[in-house]
Amino acid sequence: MSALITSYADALRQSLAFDPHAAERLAAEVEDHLAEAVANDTTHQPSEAARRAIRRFGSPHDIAAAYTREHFPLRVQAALRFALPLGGLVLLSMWLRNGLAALPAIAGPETAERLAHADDLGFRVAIALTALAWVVSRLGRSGHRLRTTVLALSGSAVAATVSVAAGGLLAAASLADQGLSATTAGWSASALLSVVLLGGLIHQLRILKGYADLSATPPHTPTGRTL
Amino acid sequence: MLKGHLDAILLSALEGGDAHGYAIIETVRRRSGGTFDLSEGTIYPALHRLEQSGLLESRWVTPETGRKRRVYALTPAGRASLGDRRSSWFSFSSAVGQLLGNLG
Repeated sequence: MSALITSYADALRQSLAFDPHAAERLAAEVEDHLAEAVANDTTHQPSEAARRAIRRFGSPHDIAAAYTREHFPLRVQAALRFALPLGGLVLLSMWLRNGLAALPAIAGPETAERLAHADDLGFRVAIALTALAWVVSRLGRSGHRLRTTVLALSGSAVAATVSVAAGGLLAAASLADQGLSATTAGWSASALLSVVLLGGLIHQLRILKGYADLSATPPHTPTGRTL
Repeated sequence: MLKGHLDAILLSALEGGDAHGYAIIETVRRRSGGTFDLSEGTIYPALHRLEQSGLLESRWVTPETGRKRRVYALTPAGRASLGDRRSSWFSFSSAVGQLLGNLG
C-alpha cells in the first residue's frame, strides 16, 4: 500500500476520531478504493497514480464532513433509541424502590426528603427532555431541529446528573447507616442504573457534538462536480 | 437536481449484483455513458447511510487479490425502494418531456 494512501486514510481516521467505529470502517473502504484506483491506472507511475486518485477523492476533512452530514440524523435516532428505553427502566426501578425501600436516614429527615425529591424530579425532567428531543427529531431533519434535539439531550444529561448525585448520596447514606439491607439494595440499584444511563448519554452526546461540529464546517477543497 | 437522485442511482447500480464502492462508481460511469462521473468521496457516506436505513446490506470479503473489501447488496426493502423511485422518475420525466415537447 502506498505511503500516500496510508497517510490519507490516517488523516480520515483522525477527522472522525470522535466515532472510532465509523472512522475505521470508512478509512478501510477508502484505502481499498484508492489502492484499486492505483492498480487500475496503467498510464502513470504508482506514486503519481496515488496522487491523482487522492486528488479525485477530495480532502479527508471534506469526506469526514460529508459523512457527518449524511449520518447526523441517524446518529441522533441511535442516541434516542439508547436513552429512551433505559430511561424508562430507571423510572421503573425508582418507582419500585419508592414503594419497597424506606427513605435512608441522612442529616435529618428533611435533607433525606429533599434529596429524594431531587432524585425523582431530576430524572423526570431528564426523561421529559429526552422525550422532547425525540419529538423534535421526528418533526424533521433540518440542522436547526437536530441542534435543538442535541440541546434537549444535553439538558437531559444535566438533569440526570442532579438525579444521580442525589440518589447516590442517599444510597451511600443507607449503606453507612444500615449496611447491606433491602433499603440499601433498592437505592443502590436505581442509582447504579442511573449512572449507566448517564454514562451512555454523555458518550452519545460526545459523538453527536463531533458530528454537529464537523457537519457545520465549510469544505476545504471547493469542487465543481455535480454529484 | 442530480444530487437528489444519488440514492436511486446507487441502488440501481447494485440491481445487477453485489459490488464494492469502486465497482459501483465504474458501473454508474459505464451505464450513463460517462455522463455521471460520481465524485468518489461522496459515495461512501451515501452507501453507509443507505445501509443504516435498511436499503443496503454489506459484508467484508477477501478476493484473490488479497485486499479485503466491503461489498454492498440490495436488501428487499432496497429493491422495493428502487422500484418506487423508478416509477416516480418515469412519471416525472414523462410529464416534463411532454411539457417541454409541447412548449417546443
